[in-house]
Amino acid sequence: MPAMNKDELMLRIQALEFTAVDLNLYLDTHPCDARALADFNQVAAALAQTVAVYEQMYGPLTNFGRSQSCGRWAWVEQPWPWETQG
Amino acid sequence: MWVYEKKLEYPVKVSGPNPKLAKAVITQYGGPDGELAASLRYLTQRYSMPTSQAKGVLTDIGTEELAHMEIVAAIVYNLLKNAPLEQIKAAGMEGYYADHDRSLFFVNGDGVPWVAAYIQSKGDPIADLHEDMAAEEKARSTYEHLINLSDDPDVTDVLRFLREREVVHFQRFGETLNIVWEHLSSRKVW
Amino acid sequence: MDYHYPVGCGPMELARAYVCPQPAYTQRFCPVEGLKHGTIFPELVRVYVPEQARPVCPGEVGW
Repeated sequence: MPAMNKDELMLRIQALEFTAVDLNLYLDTHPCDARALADFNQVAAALAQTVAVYEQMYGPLTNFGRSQSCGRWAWVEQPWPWETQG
Repeated sequence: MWVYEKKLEYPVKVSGPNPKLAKAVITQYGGPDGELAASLRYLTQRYSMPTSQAKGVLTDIGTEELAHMEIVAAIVYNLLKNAPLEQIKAAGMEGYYADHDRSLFFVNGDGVPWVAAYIQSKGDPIADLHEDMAAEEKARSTYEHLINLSDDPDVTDVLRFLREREVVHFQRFGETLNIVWEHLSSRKVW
Repeated sequence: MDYHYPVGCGPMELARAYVCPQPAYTQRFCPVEGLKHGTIFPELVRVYVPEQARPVCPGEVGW
């Protein structure tokens, strides 16, 4: 993965997760589409990889044990997703 | 159960304070065809669906609607944040400001509070899925009205995303209707 | 599990609504394009022309 700054990483995560969401809904009504399933798994893997990079640099993205927090309880740190501008 | 991901499904930014636009957009937060209504409707209907596939669709779309509710909240929050009182008064939002300052509350564009009568869980899967399809069309239509009203291109961009999601959700509910109907016909339960 | 939809392939019943099922996709947008469009499936994109951008046609209603 090429080096990305925080905003670029976040956009990549949003784009990959959105792809996974749309594929998830498609698979819910097309559960036998093997090609879609393979596609979904590939996207899920890329998403996990990108999230891991982001979390290591900028802290946890998910609560309740899905993400680790190293050195400090970064979960409660700013900013929150709706605080998008200064 | 739900976990929370500390990011928006789609990025939100606004061009500047705009209480007039916020007053209209808030209907997709607490109004009859908004994202709170959509998420609660699907998440409560899912319990009595007859097939696992239908439970999956309602759980997944219901969860995505919670994420959309958060996006609408982010739009309204940023349109009201630092809005001077003069603009709030000019927008006719004194009543809202008196009760809520610049915080988010579940009302429509005229301040009418959210009510459970906006949704239904009939327990009849065919009736419920038709309601869901209608809900998606009403939401799509509302986003189109908001796009017509919007004078902020950044907000319009987010509204377009949310509108397209309603088109996709309608398609999934329609496919689920087909599947559930076939299932019920094959079991000859009605 | 395989689902067979009667849509357009056989007798349709009275008093029943049908939605055409999406055929198995062969292409999808790349992630960033998909996010911008609001779907990864080009066949599900439905473009909206805002009221103020439509040409004025006398007597025209709706969309």
